[in-house]
Amino acid sequence: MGAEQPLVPQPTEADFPEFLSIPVRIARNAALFPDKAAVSCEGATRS
Amino acid sequence: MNQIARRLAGMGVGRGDKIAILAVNSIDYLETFMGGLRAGACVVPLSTMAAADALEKMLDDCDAKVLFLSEQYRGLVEPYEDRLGKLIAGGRIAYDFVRPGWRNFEEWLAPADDSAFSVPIGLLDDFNIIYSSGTTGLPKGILHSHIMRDMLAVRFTAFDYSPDTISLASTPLYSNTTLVSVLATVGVGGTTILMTKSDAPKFLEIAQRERVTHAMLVPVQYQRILAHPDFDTYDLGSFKAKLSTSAPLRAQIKADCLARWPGRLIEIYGLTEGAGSCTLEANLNPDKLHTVGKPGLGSEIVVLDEQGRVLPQGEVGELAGRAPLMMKGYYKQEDKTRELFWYDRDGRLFFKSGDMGKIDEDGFVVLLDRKKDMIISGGFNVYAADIEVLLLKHPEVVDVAVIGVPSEQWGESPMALAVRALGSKVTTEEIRAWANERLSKTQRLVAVEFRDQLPRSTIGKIMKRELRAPYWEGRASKI
Repeated sequence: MGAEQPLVPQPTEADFPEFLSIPVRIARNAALFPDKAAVSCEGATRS
Repeated sequence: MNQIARRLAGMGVGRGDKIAILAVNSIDYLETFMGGLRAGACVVPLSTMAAADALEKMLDDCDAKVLFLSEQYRGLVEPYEDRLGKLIAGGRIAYDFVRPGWRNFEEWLAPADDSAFSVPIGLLDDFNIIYSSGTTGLPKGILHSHIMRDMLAVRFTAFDYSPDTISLASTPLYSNTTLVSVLATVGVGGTTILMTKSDAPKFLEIAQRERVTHAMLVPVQYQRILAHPDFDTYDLGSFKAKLSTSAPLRAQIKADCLARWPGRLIEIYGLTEGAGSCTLEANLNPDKLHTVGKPGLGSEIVVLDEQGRVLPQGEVGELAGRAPLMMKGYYKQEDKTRELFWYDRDGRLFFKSGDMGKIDEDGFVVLLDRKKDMIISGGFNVYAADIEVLLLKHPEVVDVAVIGVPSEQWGESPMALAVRALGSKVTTEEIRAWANERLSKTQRLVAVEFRDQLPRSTIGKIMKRELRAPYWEGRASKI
């Protein structure tokens, strides 16, 4: 299934002009909150 | 995350390529997921509950070029690892074990630097494939786009997700239930705390200690957490919102939650495939706890009869929904995707849910059974959920599943598999008589049996197919 013609219609940029993509949001948040723990598990933490 | 993206790109993994993960929850897992996305790849988080043969089919079907695996689940891959021909050279990455042919995760990662790495990502690019939990045939890979995932994460700000969010994830990362909350958290710059397995006392300890604000839980977790003998001694005042999904949360558990657990309680009903969803703001609708709320997040819901005609409010039929948030399709299974389709008079696409329900006079959706779980007795539709709700009112029944069993006279008849309260001496006949006094003629139980516990999936769904199987053995249909 290619990205160009999905069988099920997807939202467009007009429907969601705020689109950034999750990876871009994460990069942006990392810059905004450089010292903040983003994820922790069993006592280990990473920002 | 940048290192992972850079290493994947160095192996030739890029936009649209698939990487699979079969592992226990960990920071490495989440970073692999996000690093894969950053490289432009589509991530396939595989169910650790699936059988080895089903996983082999999934790995072949999804065309994964790289597989990340943790020690705990080696046994689910080793029987067929020589047949994983679609993995590229060097594409077997071991998080926490050593084995010939597998590269250690840390060593694989080491050569890459952590400077910013990104590739352009389009709205319609593939984000993830999540395999449905079907137990027969080729599993269906639910393909989500980047725009669908990004839009959903942003919409979760309606549930108070913000940069201050501390979200506790206690279900597996391969589950959509977990992912929607984790993506909402990482999308706003909050903090995600991962648990490696669901554990009520540990959940309560972490929630109190870390001042957790959000958790997405499945009904059986609410049940266990609220039943913990020390629940009321924990300070859970930091909670802003608790969400529930994957199966209906019983009204009595919602009421208990409202009385004892601070913060909003929001039940979300929807399919991993997307389309119509409902949300119940339980705190604002204490008289609607038997429902899953109203269509939310831009959704519409209709109720259809067997012929695909829209039924009036109050009548029971199959729920179908539409929303801007819909999967792209089942990966490489166009026919299966089309089986979900229903179009209204204006030609707008809805997905049939396979769930039976109705819309009440106030527009709230009442969920009954999965269509396939509906019991047809003497030509009448009997909804197991109605009988289960009644049985749970019996003071000595703590859990129950109602299934259809063969009947010479009626085709099938309802039967209850119940879990008794600790120390209870009640008999199956006493429960049956108690229930049948209160049920309509077509709903009456043909039998009650006791179980120590009911089989559930890792996200808390009762596995009715497994419960039904022994009673239908040797018959051609019905399960």
